[in-house]
Amino acid sequence: MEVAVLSGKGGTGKTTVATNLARMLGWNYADCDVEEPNGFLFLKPEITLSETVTVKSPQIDGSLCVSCQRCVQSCQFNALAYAGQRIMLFSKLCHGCGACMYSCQTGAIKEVPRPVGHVDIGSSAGLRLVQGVLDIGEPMAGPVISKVKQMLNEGDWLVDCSPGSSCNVVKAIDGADFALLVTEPTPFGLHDLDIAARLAEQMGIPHAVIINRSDSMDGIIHRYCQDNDISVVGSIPFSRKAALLYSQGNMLLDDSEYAAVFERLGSALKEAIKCS
Amino acid sequence: MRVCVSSTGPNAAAKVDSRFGRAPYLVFFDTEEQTYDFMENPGLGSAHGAGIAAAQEVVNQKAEVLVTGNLGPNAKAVLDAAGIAVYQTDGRTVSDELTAYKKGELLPLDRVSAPHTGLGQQQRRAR
Repeated sequence: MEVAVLSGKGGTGKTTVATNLARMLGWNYADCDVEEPNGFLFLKPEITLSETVTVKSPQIDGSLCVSCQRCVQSCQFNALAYAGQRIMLFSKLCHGCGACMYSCQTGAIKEVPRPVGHVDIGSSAGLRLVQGVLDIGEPMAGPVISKVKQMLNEGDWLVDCSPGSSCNVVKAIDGADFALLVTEPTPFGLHDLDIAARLAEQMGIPHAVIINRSDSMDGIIHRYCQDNDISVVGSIPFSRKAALLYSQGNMLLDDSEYAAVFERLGSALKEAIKCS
Repeated sequence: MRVCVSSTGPNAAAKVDSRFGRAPYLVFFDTEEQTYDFMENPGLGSAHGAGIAAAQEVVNQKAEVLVTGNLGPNAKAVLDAAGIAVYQTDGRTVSDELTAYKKGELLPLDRVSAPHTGLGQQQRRAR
């Protein structure tokens, strides 16, 4: 089973929730926030395997090219140009669709793999852990996220997603059995929670909410959830202690008070999944 | 010789657009024939690579000179490969810029702007 952890707003505590719940429930953990994966900072796994992720990139053989420019015209992403009697490739704009290769009449274009990131696989305290890492400067996270998702074979997984509701989130939660929406009781948190909830709704993924940094403002989230018939599986109290543990790269579970909080959250989540 | 100017409108009285890839029009002026061609900029509607699309159009139109305000690294690479000289606009009308070019008053543009400059601050930050 795959439970996706997303939030809409950034910094609400997706990784805090996903890593602590993973350890509490004994579930595996996958970090699909490949632009800035940070779950491994807390779970501290031993990485046993690292696989490079590549995309297909055209390679042009100048000796076969007849400068017909069909490839330039076929490219929908402006990744090719023709200037100074040669084809120029802007590889970071290339989506690897292969249209240039198909349009080439002389077979001057072949596809070669271009590395854009890697996937690390490891384990910690009996859990299987996977993270995707996009190379710095690479614009397209999709292929790395797909590779992470391929690694999620049998077992139960918590899938840590990027903030927002972009393609990267859609890709990460596609196929998830359940979505856990982490929010904070602020107007921003609520605004972006609504976006995340509508995304899950549209993709037909049953979902529930966790309120992190819970304080006297929780009412705005509860009201929203009541109005929209979304269950709240629990809340994580705001405290300086929690912030300190996080800043030192420690798990909230290390603290007995928070361990009790996550124990309650874990069983409430299982209950919510059962009822969905 | 053909000179290209990035323009806000399809006429010589229009103001120059300091953006290159996202300028609505590319104006091509033939210095021998004294004639204008007003083309819609193919970069304008591109989701990505607007500068490359616009630069390709300048190359295809066989211009030897471009007058614009900002040029990104990719557009510059295409124009450089084709040997097209680029001059800095002062933000006047197309015809004023062409007059200034003919008098040799324009400065070469060799500074490369940050990618996505033409999208404006808000869109550049939002993702």
